Amino acid sequence: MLDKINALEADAKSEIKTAGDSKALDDLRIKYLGRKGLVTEMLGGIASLPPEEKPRLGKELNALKMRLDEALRSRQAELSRSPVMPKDFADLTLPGFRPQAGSKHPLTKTIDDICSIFLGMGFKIVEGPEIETEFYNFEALNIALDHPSRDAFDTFYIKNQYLLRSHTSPVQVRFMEEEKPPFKIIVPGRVYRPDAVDASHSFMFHQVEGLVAGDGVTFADLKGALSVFLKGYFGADAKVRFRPHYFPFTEPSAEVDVSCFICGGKGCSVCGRKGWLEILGCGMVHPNVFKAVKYNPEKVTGFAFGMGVERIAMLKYGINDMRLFFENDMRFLEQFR
Amino acid sequence: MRISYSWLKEYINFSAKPKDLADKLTMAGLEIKGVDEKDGDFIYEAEVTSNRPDWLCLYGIAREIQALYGSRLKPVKAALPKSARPGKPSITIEDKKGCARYVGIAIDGIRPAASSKGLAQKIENAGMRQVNNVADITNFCMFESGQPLHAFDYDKLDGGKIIVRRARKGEEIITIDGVKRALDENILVIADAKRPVAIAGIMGGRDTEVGFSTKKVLLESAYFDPALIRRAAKRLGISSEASYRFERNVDIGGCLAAAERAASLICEAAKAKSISNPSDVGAKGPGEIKITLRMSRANKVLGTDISASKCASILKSLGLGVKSKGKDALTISVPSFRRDLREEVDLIEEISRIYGYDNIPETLSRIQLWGKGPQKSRDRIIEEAVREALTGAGLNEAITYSLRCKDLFVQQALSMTDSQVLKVQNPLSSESEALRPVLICGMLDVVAYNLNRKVPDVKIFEIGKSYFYKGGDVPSEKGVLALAMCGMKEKNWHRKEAVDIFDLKGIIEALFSKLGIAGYEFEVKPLPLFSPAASAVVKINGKEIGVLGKVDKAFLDRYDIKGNVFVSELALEAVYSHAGLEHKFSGLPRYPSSSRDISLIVDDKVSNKDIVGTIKEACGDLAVDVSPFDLYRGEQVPKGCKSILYSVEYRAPDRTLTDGEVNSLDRKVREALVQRFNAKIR
Repeated sequence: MLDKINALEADAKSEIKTAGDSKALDDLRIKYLGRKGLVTEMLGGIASLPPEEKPRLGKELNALKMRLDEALRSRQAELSRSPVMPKDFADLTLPGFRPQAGSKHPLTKTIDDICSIFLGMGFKIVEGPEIETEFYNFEALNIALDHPSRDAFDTFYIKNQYLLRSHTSPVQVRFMEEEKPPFKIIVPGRVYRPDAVDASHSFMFHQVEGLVAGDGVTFADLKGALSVFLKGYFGADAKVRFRPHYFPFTEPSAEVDVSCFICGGKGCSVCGRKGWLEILGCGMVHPNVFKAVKYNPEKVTGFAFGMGVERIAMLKYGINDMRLFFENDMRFLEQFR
Repeated sequence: MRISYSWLKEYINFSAKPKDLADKLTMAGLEIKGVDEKDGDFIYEAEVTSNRPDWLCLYGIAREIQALYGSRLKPVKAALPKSARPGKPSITIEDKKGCARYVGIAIDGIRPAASSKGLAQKIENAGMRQVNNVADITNFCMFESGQPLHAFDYDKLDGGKIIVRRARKGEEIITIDGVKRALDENILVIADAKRPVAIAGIMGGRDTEVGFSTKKVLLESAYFDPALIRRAAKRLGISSEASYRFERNVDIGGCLAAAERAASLICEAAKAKSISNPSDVGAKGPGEIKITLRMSRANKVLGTDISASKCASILKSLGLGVKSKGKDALTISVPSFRRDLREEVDLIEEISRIYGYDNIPETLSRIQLWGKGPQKSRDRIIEEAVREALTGAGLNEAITYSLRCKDLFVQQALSMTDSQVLKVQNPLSSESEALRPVLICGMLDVVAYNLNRKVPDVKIFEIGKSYFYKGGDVPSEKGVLALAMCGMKEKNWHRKEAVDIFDLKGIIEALFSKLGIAGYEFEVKPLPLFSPAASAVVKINGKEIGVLGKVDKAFLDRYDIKGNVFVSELALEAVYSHAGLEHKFSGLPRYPSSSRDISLIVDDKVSNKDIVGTIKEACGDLAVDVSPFDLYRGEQVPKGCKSILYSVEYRAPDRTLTDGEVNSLDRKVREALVQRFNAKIR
């Protein structure tokens, strides 16, 4: 009899364990514990047993009843925790449908980032034409014909003395012809020079140029404004140094270096082991430039600066080949979303 | 320029270590780009800016060290033999503008040999090849003083004469590099009685070059016009150590000293028997230059408070003459070796350099307060809005070259004559020969580039310029927005749908709507470069401002592009002028609207525009919205016809329309459609 009870318990438990839903569990409850269920039936069978076995088996069967009831309940709880898969079940490990936002070109992004710092300092954005004349591109900027300083400004010419501007500085002249100081302007734009295309050269590239003019603008102001910009763009920890240089349109002139943010100034391949990255050229506006636009250089002083956008973008984003900017590979552009 | 650290020490005592000196020079404007250790010496690679020819020699750099470290320069002396010096060479300057000074010294009875080890080493460290001790000494002196020198084999000069003149048309010379060069009157030459023997300031001739058998030399030390030398060197395509210096200006006051220094060294090294008196023709030096420097001005430009005595000591240390002039000013006399100093601001720069840019404070006080008017122009604000709208619509911004190959196919299609294209007169290659008349070619380049790299979905725009001649010969440029799309509209594991012309049109409509541009329309019209299946001009207020369409297959074939590409170009000026970014709330409708759907079958040629127009006309202002919501061509529709479903929304501004009113409007609409288009209403 005891063996029978054990066999029944084993069967019941295995059936309960595999029951798939509450309906199956209800059926099992009826099958075992119902009024005509197997356990009930066995309890009924006790009457025909010898009296000395009755209490023990009765106790066993009642305990079994409790155990099966518990098993049914716990399976029920289990089932309610893991409901059946709904028809509209979503496997959320599948990728989502991303809205396809496009990206600004990294050069535009760089120009905007540069300009936004200067906008914060009260500068005004000014733009000008790409097709220029000798006067605006050279003469008014104190760049003499037949002077070696022209070597830095190889230029594309189109017929009738027109040319493609080789820097954004002509816009300074055009602006000053129209406006009176004081002012602070920033000039982004496309420029052209006959340089064969390779990883670090291009016949078309971009510059951002700036000009501040007014009564009492000093070299100290130039240092102050450009330090604010460089620390704003490259981080507050960036060290900045101003090195004397020569440009025909400014004097005194400087090249400005920022401590290499790749090696932290220790020297690496990006900074040419120097620990410094050359970022921009600047200086106090040469009196001849003011004279060309009929400003009185005794009254008006000012500073100007210019930087190459491609170079800054390459440093900032770790881009190693300038051609990437103009090939417009979607996989390149999409990295700047 | 290469500078030997140990050679510098021959002209000035200083204790700075090579690295420290390099840093100090760099921070004074003589950028040392690299330092090479070589046989116990250190060789600097210096970048000398074009305004500082005095730095193209060791003595000039030593002078800078004098200013930076305070030690004194050692004089360089020529030890000429005390013995009597016979005669002097015959020198005539015909072109006095081209050659302001010419010093010649004849040295006789020499035996040229290879240079001593020390001299050879110096020449090599300076980056030149050694030749023989005569030529090497001329080069040595050039590196020492900055004055290029040339030695002629005197016996080979016809008539023993030197004439400085312009070349004559048809004259030729074989230069020491063995190249035969045609000369003309733009080129200054050194000639003997018969022919040019050197291209002045650029390169000597082979015939009169000093060799080991030379017995008598004529040493030349001259001053040539920088611009003339520069033009000639460019014209001839030669850049030599000499021309590099002459075109930057050499010290006209130093010609004689340099010649004597070289003569004395040649005498000693090549065991000369006799040396002539110098023949010194032309100016002996530049006119005197005096500049007044106002201390107040210097400090006003620099934003400093540097004292007059500090300024004076800086300028003296650079070798300038300094005298006080009243309380505020100094009178500076500029020596001949610093002819780059011409005006007050040049002196201010010298003071700031030596004072140290690092010692000038950083201020912002004054300029911070300025600023008037808007910081961005209206056009720029709109341009930024365009960019934002288009990137938001899923397009990537491209930047393509404005200079390209000429494209005859495009020119022909657009009926442009060759003279309407802006051509570059000095292109690098055909790749950069012309300015683009349209942006579409660059867009297709980008599409092709990506397709070739197995990137099939390209959705791009560019904000750039196109270039053309405006009324004849005046070149002009105008802003253009170009858009291009191809591949899949959306691609994921659930939805796969190819880009359609209506995607691009929708982007443009959404852009116009964002910019507040209302009166636009797309007028179907066959256009060059576009497929007749999809081609339209874009109009704002009736004026054409751009195009939209599917690129013609024949055009795509030229780029090897398979599949459809949709493009558009819009004139930015028109977009900007019609845009308005200010939002104005116009109130919500006060009364409810009612809708009626109409399903009609019409001839395929009937346009949506005409149907909508007819519906609106039939019910005046009461039809507030007429939208197509299904279009079908196929089996259940007769051939040459289409079935379109419209939803018409009716609303009156002042009352709720009754069912009866709406039904009667709906009837009117149906009648109008039947009457106008012979439409079959379903």
